[in-house]
Amino acid sequence: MVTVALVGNPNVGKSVLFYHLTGNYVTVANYPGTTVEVARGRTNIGGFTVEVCDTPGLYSLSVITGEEAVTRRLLMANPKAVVVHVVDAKNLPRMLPLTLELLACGFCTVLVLNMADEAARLGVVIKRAELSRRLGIAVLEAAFAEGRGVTALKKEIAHLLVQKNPPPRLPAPPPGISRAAGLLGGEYPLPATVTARLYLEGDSEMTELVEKTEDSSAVAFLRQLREQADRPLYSFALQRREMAEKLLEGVFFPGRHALPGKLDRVTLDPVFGWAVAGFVLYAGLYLGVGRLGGGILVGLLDEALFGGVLIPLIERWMAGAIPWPALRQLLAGEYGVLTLGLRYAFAVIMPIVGTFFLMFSILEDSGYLPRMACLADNTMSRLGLNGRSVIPLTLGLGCGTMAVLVTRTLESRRERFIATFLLALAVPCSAQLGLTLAVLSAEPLFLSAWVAVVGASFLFAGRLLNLLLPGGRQPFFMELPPLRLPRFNAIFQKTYARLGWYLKEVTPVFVFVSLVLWMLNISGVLGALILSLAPVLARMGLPREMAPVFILGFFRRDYGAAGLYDLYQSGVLAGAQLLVAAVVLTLFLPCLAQLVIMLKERGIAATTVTVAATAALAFAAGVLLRLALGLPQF
Amino acid sequence: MPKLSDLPAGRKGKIVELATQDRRILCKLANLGIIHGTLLRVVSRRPLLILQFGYTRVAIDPVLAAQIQVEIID
Repeated sequence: MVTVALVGNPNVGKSVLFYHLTGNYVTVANYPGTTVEVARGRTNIGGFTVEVCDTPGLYSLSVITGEEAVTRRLLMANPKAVVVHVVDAKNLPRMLPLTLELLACGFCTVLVLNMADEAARLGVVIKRAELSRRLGIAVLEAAFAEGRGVTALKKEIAHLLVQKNPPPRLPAPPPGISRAAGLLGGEYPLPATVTARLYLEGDSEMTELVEKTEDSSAVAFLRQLREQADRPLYSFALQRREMAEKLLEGVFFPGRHALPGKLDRVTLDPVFGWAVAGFVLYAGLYLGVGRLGGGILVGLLDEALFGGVLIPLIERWMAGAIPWPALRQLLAGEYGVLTLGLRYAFAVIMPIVGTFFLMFSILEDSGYLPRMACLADNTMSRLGLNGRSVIPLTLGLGCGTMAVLVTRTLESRRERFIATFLLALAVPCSAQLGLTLAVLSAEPLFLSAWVAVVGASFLFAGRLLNLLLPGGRQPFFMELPPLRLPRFNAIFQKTYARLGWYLKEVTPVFVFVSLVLWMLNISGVLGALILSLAPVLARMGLPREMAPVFILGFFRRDYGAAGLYDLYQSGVLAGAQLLVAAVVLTLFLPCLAQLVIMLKERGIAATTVTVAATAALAFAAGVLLRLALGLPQF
Repeated sequence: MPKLSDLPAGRKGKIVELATQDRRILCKLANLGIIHGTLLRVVSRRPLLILQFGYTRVAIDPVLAAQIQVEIID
């Protein structure tokens, strides 16, 4: 099956195109770095079944971030792929060099000038036919957000599936590259000139590959060439840029300047910007997720629908229909699949996570997040991070598991580790946040104390890691997309896609956790575990009823929060205990799903350190808080 | 030679040199289009340096900007 790879800079509309081609929606946003993995979907084009791949943003084959490396690997593994290079039409001069790289790799390429409507509005003129003639490939115009240009692109892909492009007419590579390419005798996934170029640039993946393949005399020669080269990466990039400029002479005519608007300036203002950010967080998180999701919607679904109607109905039905108490327990007991598993999933967690994803989608689509990243850069720099980390950390307020995946957009291992650690320790997920807000909002003082303690832990852990870990932070840079009014369709589709991902990932875990707890309960293991946890809890001034909540909390953080909500409702926890419980639960271990992703992304050593440290810090915070509040040991 | 980080808000400059040997930084800047010959304008200096060139707006750290030498254009 032929692969159709959608490639291009971040934030040019690849994911929207993917949706138009396959009908699948991957998360699309108005900022770079939303696609961190390759999304694949099958579709039929011109009578052929093809696999369409939406790839993370790529600036050039000289890659820096993990997500760029993902795209390059996909390209290397599919030399016969049809590559759709999507560019933002008005920024063609900056993006055309990547087309040249793709052509140099020998890919069968089509260039798509997306957002052509916006470019036209600004008065940009592009002579497509001439550009197509100069490049020797099709150059199409599109506005994928409006669905324009999809049919023409499909037609061109269909054409390329039966008839490949003629080899492009590219100028000869610079002499340094040709010399190095001449020394390569082995077989490589990319043509010799491209392999040689990346080798000379000091690309680690290519260096390893070349030095493994070639004999020692060739390697010695290549190394010598590399040492002689003066900043090869930069000079090759400059050559491509100059080549692109020449190709665009008489083809690309810029239009009017787009100046930043008033709102744009306010969001970046060091004083008013923070006020805007504070308001956005207050409105989105507290009013939206906390009050609307955690308060009103959970109240409706959990108390009215499940508690008032469904569960009594099930219990009444089961009393007559199922004579075995153990089975009754399994379905509708304390840890029942219906009463705990599905109720938590649909009545407690879903409304909260749903409202979070809705709020986050609005933020994303407006283009506001990169501005928040700029504002927070200074603060983040003290934690060894830069403004870029604001995006995964904010996403962590929705779902920590998703956020750990998105830490791939950070540039160094050090930053990825710090961000992952902070996500595990002090970034509550939306379910946790919504429920904690619901539980604590009756006591504004406790709520502020919770925010203060969790915030202080976040800053403390970040500063400590920044001091302890060798190396420094990466300097910040980020493209600022224009602010725009969020589009209803995009928001709806995005929220729907994220919520779908979430439910697909969590519902089996919910049912599984209910099963495990039911078994532990029935076999008496749970009782023993609770007993063994009781002294630990007592030191933090918490009753042993909290033990199952912590155990639940390990399986899913949101579960633990939902358990806390239950204890609050039933009056087991009161006053200052609630505060201690909320703080410890927030800082405590990440949930099972997040743990699995951490293992996959960061490896066993980093994960073990994180788990041990978060558990210890949570316990320490609990004990200190008890002492500070003057609570008795339980 | 003036540095990009010295350019006041509202001024235009042309990049003449990236004074670093750091492969990652060169790669980053070149990928964004901040490269020898690029004409740019400093839109704002707070909270970070906000640059505009062509239809691209970029925020960069002053530490990075200090490594970019420019020729000031009136």
